[in-house]
Amino acid sequence: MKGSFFTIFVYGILISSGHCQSIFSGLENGIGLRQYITTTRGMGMGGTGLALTDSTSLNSYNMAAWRYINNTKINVSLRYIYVSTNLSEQKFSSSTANFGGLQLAIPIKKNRWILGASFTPYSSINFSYILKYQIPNRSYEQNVFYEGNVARSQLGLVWSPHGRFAFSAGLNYFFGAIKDRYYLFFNDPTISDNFYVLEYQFRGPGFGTSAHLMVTNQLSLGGFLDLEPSIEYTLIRRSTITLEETKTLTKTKFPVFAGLGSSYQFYPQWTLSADFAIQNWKKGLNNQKVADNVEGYYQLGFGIEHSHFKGRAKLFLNKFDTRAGFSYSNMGYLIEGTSIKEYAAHLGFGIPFFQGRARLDLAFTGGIRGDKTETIVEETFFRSFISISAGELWFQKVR
Amino acid sequence: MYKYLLLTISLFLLSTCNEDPHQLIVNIYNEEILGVIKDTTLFVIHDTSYFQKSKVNTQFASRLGLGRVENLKCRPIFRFIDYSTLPDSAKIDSAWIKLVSRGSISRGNTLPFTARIYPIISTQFPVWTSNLDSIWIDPDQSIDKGTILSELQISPDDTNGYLFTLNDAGLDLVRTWADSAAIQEENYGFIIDFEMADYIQYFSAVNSGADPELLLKYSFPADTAVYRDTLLANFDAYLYEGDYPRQVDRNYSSSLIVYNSVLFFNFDNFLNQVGGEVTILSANLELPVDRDQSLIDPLYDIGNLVTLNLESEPYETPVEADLSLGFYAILNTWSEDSSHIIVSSNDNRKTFANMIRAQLANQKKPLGFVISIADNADNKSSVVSDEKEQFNYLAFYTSKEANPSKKARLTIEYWIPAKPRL
Repeated sequence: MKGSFFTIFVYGILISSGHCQSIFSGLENGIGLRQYITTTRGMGMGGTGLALTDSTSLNSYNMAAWRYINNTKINVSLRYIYVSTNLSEQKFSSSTANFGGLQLAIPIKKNRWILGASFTPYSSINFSYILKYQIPNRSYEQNVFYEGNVARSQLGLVWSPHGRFAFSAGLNYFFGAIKDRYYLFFNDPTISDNFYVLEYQFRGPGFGTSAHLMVTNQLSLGGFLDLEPSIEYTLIRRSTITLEETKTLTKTKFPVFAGLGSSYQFYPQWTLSADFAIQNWKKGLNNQKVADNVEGYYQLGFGIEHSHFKGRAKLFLNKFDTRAGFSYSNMGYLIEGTSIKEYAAHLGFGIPFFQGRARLDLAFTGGIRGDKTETIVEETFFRSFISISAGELWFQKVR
Repeated sequence: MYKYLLLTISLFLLSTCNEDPHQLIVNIYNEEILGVIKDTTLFVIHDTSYFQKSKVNTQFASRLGLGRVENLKCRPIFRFIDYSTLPDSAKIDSAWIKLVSRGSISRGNTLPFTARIYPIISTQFPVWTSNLDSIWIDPDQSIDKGTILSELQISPDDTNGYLFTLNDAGLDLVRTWADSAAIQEENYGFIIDFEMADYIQYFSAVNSGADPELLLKYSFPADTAVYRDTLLANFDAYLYEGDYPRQVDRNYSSSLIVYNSVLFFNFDNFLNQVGGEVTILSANLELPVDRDQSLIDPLYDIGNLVTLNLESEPYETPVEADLSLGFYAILNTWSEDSSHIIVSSNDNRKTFANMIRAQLANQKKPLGFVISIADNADNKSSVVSDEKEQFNYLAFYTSKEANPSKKARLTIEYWIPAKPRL
């Protein structure tokens, strides 16, 4: 099993440079499309998961929910994304794969103290396009590549003073880089092709906390709060005149990010969940630049799960978990004054193995982003998630 | 099993990555962010021209000049030293020197003139074959003007060539040089000279494909048959002396009598107006020419007029140009109305843009360029065609000219690159 972990990790790192090719990711004043993924299980349930009780997989945002694990756990996930863009009368599509996240939890004191680390995508930019220009006596094309990502890592400690409540506190560290490359191509021997690169680097610490409360045996609440991290924002550009690299370093903050969720087990194998997460990007990066095309990001999701039968299952549907859901998001960007919205349907499966101590989760979402009649462009997308959650009885004080 | 399942999935994901850019028919992004292409014209703010003392090596010239234009006088010299194909017992009966016409240059008058061949006698230049760019002080002292070897009327209409028939004195000289048994006198060759001429007639030179020839007719004792042989000249060159007239309010670029022009442009104002990053995509230099005050070779036209980056500090002397290999732009195209010269519309404009970039990178302000006929730039001769066989001078209007259309100007196409999105 250790070999499998290693293999997955290596492959995950290898493909972590890929991103979703979304036209919206390259919009001005933003750091790309926000990535909010709790767990692959949650992605099968409408992007929820903050309050779900789970002794197998690890929640990216609500570390307090990790209190249900009883041995060292690791969770690795990958994503595949297909996007079809409809811009005016033009259609094109792209697909890519990337790293979905990595979580590691080490119980220090069983069901009471847990040390954890999480690494998860925070935002992602990947869009490349060609524009053709015709100016007097000259035609040329410009190829533009926007690419990069920002990641959120968290080192946290979970404390569960009571069987129904847990609290976590963590040190977040945000880091990443976005590179914009602009190439000019001329079909003319008298004029030089040219390029220009702008690179934006981000790094800085923040503080995050989360909580999980089991109100009754059926009803749970969960939530997280990432306070404003203090970000060092560096703009790097190479002068076209002196060819020297200049770095402009400024301090900025990412807005507070918060989420609240609930889950309700209304029948032994049936669970409902609902989540809401919000982050106000209205001021952009607070870098004195007028940011009139950004606004608040939020996501609302609903999901339902039919879990596998914890015993000898006869029915096929009892052998694995089946999930479904729906989500609605405001992407935090405006085009011509109209918000970019996202609607998605979710479907997921969980396949337990090793007597339920480990699980392979699959989730599929499909939806639409933007509205062609109002925002000129819309995207239909399909995303698939795969994660494996497994554990070992090591680094644990066995009582 | 799970391990292999996940490996397969990962490889599948990798194989489906797609990074190709899409062409957008409608742009949803902010155009200001993407940068913009513009062009502008900068007029010369200061200019001058200067004399470049130089010695011209005509070893590889394909033409030899004979005659006079303005106050410049040219006279070709030849040496025929290889008579090895001529049998020892042959008796030279007649000899001719054949020269092939290769254009002419004049101020308009091209009256025929008389050319005479004289022997070169002086030992002032012991081996002029190996020192082809030497300066001959008072060359007439090295010419035996009392011995005419041949005489011919030179007319520019005679495009086929010229055949000088050597007289008895000429035959005697050739017989002496050809006689391997006799005590050899030093063969200094001969010169073609003239008294009065109002144009320069060019002849093809050695290794031009139409080399100067010594035609011999000879016979043998007790043999009535007549034989002929053709010898090619082994060495040639031409002497030139004099100058051409220059106006005070003009700048000059010329060959042989080497003058270069220097132009300055104020790029600071332009950069201040743009107010940020700018990259030069293409550049062109437009040089209005006072054609009435210029002399342009009809065969070569303006040849390889080049612009070089100014290496020395602005306004300082001596003027130094950047002679880096390949770092020059050729200006040899006339505008449609033939009023000014422009940078050739091929890679030269890109090269010129690179030259401007290099000057800006060195923060050399104002921009300075040296306008030179290629051969004047010494080691440029190896990278552009030789200009030693032509005498040209171009008169440029100065920055003091009231009419802007007669001022030298720099047109540049530039890109104000993308602004930060964040």
